[in-house]
Amino acid sequence: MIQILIDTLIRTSDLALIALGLNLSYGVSRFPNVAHVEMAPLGAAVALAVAALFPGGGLVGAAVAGALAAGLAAMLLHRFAFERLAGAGPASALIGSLAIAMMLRAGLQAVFGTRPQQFDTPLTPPHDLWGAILSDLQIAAIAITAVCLIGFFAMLRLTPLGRSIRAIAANPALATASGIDARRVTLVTVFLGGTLAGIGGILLALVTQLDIGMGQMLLLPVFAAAIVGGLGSLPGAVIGAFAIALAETLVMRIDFGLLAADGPRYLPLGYLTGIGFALIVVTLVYRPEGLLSRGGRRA
Amino acid sequence: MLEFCLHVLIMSAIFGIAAVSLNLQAGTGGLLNFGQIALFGIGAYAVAILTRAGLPWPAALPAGMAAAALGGFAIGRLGRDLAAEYWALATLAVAELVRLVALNEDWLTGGPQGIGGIVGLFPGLDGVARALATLALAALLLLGTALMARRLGQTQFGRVLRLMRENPDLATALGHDIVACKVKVLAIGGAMAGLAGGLYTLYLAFIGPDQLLPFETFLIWTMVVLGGLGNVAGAVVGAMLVTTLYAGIPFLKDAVALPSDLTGSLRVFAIGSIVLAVLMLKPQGLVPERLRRLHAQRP
Amino acid sequence: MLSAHDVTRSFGGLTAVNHVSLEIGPREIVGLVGPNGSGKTTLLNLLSGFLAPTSGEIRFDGTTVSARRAWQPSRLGLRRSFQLPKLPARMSVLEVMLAGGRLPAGASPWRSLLTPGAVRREEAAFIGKAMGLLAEVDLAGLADHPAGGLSGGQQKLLGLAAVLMDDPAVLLLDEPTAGVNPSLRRRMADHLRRIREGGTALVIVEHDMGFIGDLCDRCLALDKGAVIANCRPDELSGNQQVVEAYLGRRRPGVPLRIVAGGTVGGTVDIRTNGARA
Repeated sequence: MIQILIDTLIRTSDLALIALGLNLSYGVSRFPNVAHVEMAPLGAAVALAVAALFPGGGLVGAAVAGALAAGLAAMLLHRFAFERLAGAGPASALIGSLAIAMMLRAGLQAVFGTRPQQFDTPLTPPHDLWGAILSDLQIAAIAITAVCLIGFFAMLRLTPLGRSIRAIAANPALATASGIDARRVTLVTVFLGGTLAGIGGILLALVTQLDIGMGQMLLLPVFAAAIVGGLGSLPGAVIGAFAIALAETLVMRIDFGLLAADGPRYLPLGYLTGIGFALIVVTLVYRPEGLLSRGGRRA
Repeated sequence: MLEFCLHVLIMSAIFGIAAVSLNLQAGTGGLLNFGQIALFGIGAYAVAILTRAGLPWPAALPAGMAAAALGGFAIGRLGRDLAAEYWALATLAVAELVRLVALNEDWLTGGPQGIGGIVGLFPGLDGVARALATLALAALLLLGTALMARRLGQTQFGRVLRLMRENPDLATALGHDIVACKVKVLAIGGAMAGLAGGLYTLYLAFIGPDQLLPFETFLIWTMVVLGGLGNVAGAVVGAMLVTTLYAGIPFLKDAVALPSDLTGSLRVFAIGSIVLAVLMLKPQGLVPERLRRLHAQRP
Repeated sequence: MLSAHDVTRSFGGLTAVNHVSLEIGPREIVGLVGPNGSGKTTLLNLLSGFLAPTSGEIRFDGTTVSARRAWQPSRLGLRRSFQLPKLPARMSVLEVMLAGGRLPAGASPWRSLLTPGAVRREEAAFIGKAMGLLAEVDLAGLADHPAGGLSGGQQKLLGLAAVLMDDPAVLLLDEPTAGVNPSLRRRMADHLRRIREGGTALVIVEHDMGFIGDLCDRCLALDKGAVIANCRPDELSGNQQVVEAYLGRRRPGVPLRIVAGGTVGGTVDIRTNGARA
């Protein structure tokens, strides 16, 4: 039981920051940016490279550099590609973001190679927490995710920037009319979204390893989290990540043999990655506006 | 060299059919189907399974088309009243589910190894003669598909699809049931994509889950976007260019002495940059959609 | 012909249309008037089946209008126009007209492919009809031009002409004169009168009270989602509730003025006036 909870939390922390970044960017740019998930391997790869180049800088310094690089990349892409593509409608922006995602993935593979790499982290024995197995790094990843989430939502509630972001996400025209520089705030927001995805990617690489192709593995679970929570909804992204993580964990561990009464029978492991897709489909069909809404149904 | 050219031409014709199908859905009807490869795959697997069971190809091919048409009907029903981008993501998820089924249901699909050893087209011929006969068949079917798509785009059916693409409310106000139109065009597009998939299986005598990756959908999108959304001839031109480029990149690699593990990345990068360049610089494609001048045509 | 029975529609906590009942007879021209936000467009959306009422029922020609099949009323002869038609840039004027007609052979993918003769005959007949309607709104010369490239006023006329391709029994018009220049407005009024002569009833949402007074047999005035008057256009200015509905919303700096014209038809002009009174 505890193990299920722990597994769910670990998976949630994998997805939550990236999904939050996605919904944050969606809120101001109004199209689902497929290239967003590539900010995760980008951030992780830059962090790894910085850690290798400046061994004295420490892991934290490298992680900060990686996260900022991801944010910067997201912002530049928005400024030089998506602003123009979005002008031609959400369809162009969506196809364009797919193209950019492909190019980023191929580019990262060309620069960093396709072999998985690892951060140089001290090996510590895993802890036994009421029967659940948990490593130091996993505890750290969950804690850092929690701190980032709390910090982000505090910023959103308490600072003028947070208020501007919420205003633009709610009604861009009104926000502009009330004196907010929508373009600047949008760029800053996209930067924040990229940074969050970068942090998510770095944590993922720290706990397991850096797989340059992780964007492909993350694409549908992250979109599933964002859609289940409601595209554009910020608390929804976190709740959606938790829902996807819980569904994946449960489906893996539930013994379907109990229903069929012919011995233990688990869902084939191969379908694990399908849970996110299935949840996307189910959510879109029965509750297109997501758990916490922002319309997806044709007006 | 001759055999290689014939191979490229056959593949161009097969993907040309898939591109004409996507062009009808996306270019004429404005439906962002990011699961096109699933329809292609349903046709491909149906033909593989049926020919393995002993059915001759002239019977298996129409059955594959019917199966893919049903698939198109299903994703059309699924997206009854979803906004365009949400539906696009749902089709992407459905395509991944189809691929997972192909990957995991060994008894039906051969699992990761796929289905090989299919009795292909014209088993009585061999070498260049067989390739020429295959090319003639593929080209004939492409011509038929393209003429059919052009005809459908010209009549009231196509007019309503184009009106639905640009202003669904107006189409509804003029008495057109846009959900029914959507389902019809997806079923027709599905049959065409199933034909392409079936031909692909018969030509290569093999189909596997790796042929159903989301990248393949993106490849077909590249053909349509490059050729010009909404123009049938454009889709055919785009399919030829992209197939040739895709097959030619390994030669290019030899010419400039690139390491071979970069070939894959280079291909992906090239395809991505084509789409991005077209979207940013010439969004209407190489062969833009033409205005239909009905009045001037009148006797 | 068209009737609403105790129809209410609310959005969240806001009631946009509040217990409205009405009845439109054959060949009647009825104006829907009221200040901004009084629920005119929402009522039009409800009547045309584009919105489902929260409660109440809308009936047309004996059947219930249902928003789940928003395309159905149009086929039965209840059609609407839009305030902003937003016509497609990559379809010609004539194509938009044909899309407004009912061409069963061409609309069926099977028959498009298998019975080219029937498709051709049907198309020729409808092109003839479309050119006639286009000539009436001075757009025949632009038949092969992109519909989205027309001026705002021309797009409105084209939107109106396309709706007429199927000879509707009731036509719901959302601000037909907004954005149309004054000389064209008079011609549009003549055109609408001819449409009525052809047997069509009209419901018109309109701000231009001159246009309403000139054209309508009857007016329904709305305020805060409810019908506050149902009378001849010339009786509006004498209706205390209507006057208050317009003037009651006065804020400093946005004065409103009622001008009662003395023409034979009894034109009433209630319009906002930007000048400081």
